[in-house]
Amino acid sequence: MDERKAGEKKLKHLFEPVKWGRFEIKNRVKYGACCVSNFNTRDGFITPRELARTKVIAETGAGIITNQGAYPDPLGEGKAYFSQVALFDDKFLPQFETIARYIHDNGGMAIQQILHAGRYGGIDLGYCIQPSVVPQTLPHFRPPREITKEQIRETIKQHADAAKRAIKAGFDGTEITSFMGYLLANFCSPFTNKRNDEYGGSVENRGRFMRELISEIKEAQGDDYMLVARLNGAELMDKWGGNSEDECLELMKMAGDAGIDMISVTVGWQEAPESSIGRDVPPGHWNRLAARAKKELPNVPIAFGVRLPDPVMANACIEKGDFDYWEVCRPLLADPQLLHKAAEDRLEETRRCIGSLNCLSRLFRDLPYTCTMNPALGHEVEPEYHITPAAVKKRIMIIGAGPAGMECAMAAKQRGHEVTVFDREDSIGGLLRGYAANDLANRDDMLSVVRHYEVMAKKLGIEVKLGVEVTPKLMRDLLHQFDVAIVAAGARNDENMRPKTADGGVLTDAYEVALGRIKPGKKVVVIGGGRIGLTLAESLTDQGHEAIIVESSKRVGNDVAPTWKWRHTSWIKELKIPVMTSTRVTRVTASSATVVNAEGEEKELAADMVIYAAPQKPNQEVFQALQWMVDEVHMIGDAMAPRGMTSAIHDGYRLGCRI
Amino acid sequence: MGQTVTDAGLCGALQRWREMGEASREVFAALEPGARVGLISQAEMNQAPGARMVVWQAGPEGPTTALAPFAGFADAPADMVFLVPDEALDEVAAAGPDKGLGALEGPVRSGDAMLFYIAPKGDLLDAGYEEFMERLGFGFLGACR
Repeated sequence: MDERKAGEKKLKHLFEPVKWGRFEIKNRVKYGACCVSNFNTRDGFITPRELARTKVIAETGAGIITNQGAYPDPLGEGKAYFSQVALFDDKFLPQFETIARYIHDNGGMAIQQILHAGRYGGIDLGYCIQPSVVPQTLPHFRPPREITKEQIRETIKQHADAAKRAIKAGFDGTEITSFMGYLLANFCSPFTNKRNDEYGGSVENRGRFMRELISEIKEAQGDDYMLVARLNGAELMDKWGGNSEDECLELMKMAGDAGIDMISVTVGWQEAPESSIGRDVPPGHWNRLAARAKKELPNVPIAFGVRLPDPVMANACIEKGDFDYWEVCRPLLADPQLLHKAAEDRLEETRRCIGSLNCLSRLFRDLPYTCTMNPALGHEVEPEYHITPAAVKKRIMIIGAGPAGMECAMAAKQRGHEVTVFDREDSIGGLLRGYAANDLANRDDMLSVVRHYEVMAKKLGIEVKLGVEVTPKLMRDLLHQFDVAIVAAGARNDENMRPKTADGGVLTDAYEVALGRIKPGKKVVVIGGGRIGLTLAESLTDQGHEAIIVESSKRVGNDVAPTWKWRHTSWIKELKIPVMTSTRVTRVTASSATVVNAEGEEKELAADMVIYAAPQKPNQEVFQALQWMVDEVHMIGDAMAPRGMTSAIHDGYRLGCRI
Repeated sequence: MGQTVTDAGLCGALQRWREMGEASREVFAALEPGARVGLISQAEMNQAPGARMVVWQAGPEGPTTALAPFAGFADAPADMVFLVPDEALDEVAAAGPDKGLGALEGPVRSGDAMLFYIAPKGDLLDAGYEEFMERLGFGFLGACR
């Protein structure tokens, strides 16, 4: 009898058990160590926070689990992140043993990544080491020193010792990585390797470090254990003198010849001048690189998952023979239940990774990583973030069906509360719908968030009353029907910032245009260069309207995530959108907007529509109206302080878990 | 037709780079006096250790422009350096001196030119480079994409 679950039958290639060497792997999914958590001690010890997080990873259902990269040297030249784990001494072993056990207890194969960050390392030292002195293009990283031959030999030995230690801790194999421009990549790439000795020059010489690394690690850990190499299929650094795709392939073949047991194909360096993993890259965009590697190296197992967030697409790729294992990390950060949902044919319940790169933005600020879509990530060790049965069941009304309100509703409902969500609009999603409709990067990513709320509201039985505005009159009618009121109604426009209107001039609300309720004019002035104004101006220009952005502060994009600011500035350049900074709109008429710059110079801009997308303020009026009518009143999301989607989701979940 | 920057070479076109610095007074005002920004062409860099680079140095009276020896990035006489391929030099110069250092934004964005940070992040922050870069149209911490 076929005991497979419905989804396992549908995605039969992805969920097919496979033999790799002496190992029986339960499916073709490899959890990739794409993100270092920054949850650990400054001297490299694994913390309870990390162990709790890793337990969740072990329970994702992936056949192979790669534990996050540990630096192998006592000096920390290989250390890339402030709180990265270390593996240069046996004193670190007990926690690694626990992690290996978690993985095995869940039927997974355990791989430990050894990460010497090279060009991106030396985070505590004030310098980094790399094959040649090539300065940093990102100021976060340390000034370079050239690695000597003696240091090369020592570094290879440290990798081999760390690998041996991982095996001793119970891991089934190890992984070396050139992902994103670490030491291995620095040797392979002519961008950072300008040496004249046997480690530089030709591809053959540049690959010598990798071959020696593979040889010594394999010798140290023995034939019974596996070694994986993450190698670039494309560096995206070729414009700056890096490897071409052909050279990348040549290096992969070299690794195959050196006896590597699996190649995980990656794309891009941290500093590459184009996107590799952001949501402006269409899902599946890089699959060709894995397919090419598989074709050229038919006998080496190939893992791949760069900007490939969808298990259905991964299943199809495996069926086609593009690669052997789906290497997945960020989609499992966003939803650790993704594989279980896929196996049970419940993919519609998935919380999709929207590629906001919040995780990486945080790491670049030396902060622990978090996930926009998964508010529990990083808090697994804290009971306050768990969904547990409520001690007292309450009747809860939530005002606003945007991300904050819906997250709160979902968590509270799962805890046993009675939940009713009210929204004056006729659909779930709040203002996110307007943002999604105008996002040039990937509208479906943002819309997937809205769809998730719609699906989960139905599945969990949350009552959602749409088209109902919560007014004091309604509240008097509802008096005593609810124990708790939660204000998640979003922010309000700051009326004090609005310019004067005259001669038939009208200020149009950005969301009315974004949601398609008001037809935009031909010549549009957008007041406000924050993420709302930028997104709308970009979208309107893309549709053929003429938009000008007027921003009162010195720069635009002040509320945009650090990893996404460049995207807006690039779009502004590409779309040739005029931007006036340090400038205020003082008067709006039916055909123009008058602006004044910091020097007091006045100018009239022709415009048949002026859109107000300027700073917003908290929505305290609703809170004040309710606080003497309901036992408990709370505020969450932009209603409390306008901060955007990540904070809204996190606020909502946190309150839903605790109320 | 006049001599191009390519014909004159990076160092032969000092007057143009001086005009460019002058036009960027407001941008350089973000920097502490003594902060130095370099410009070198690929051809000139290939001459190292005998190469020279253009150095704009921030000062209370605005930036000064001079040539300085360039023996390699390890000892580069600047806190940050723009490396421009020879074929892009004319494009930068042709943008007009009034555009100032803003003329480098396009080539850097397109990946034709490169921007290297020589000084450590803390020193760059102390010297005002975060504001300087923002004024030039770049994010200081750059991107992970």
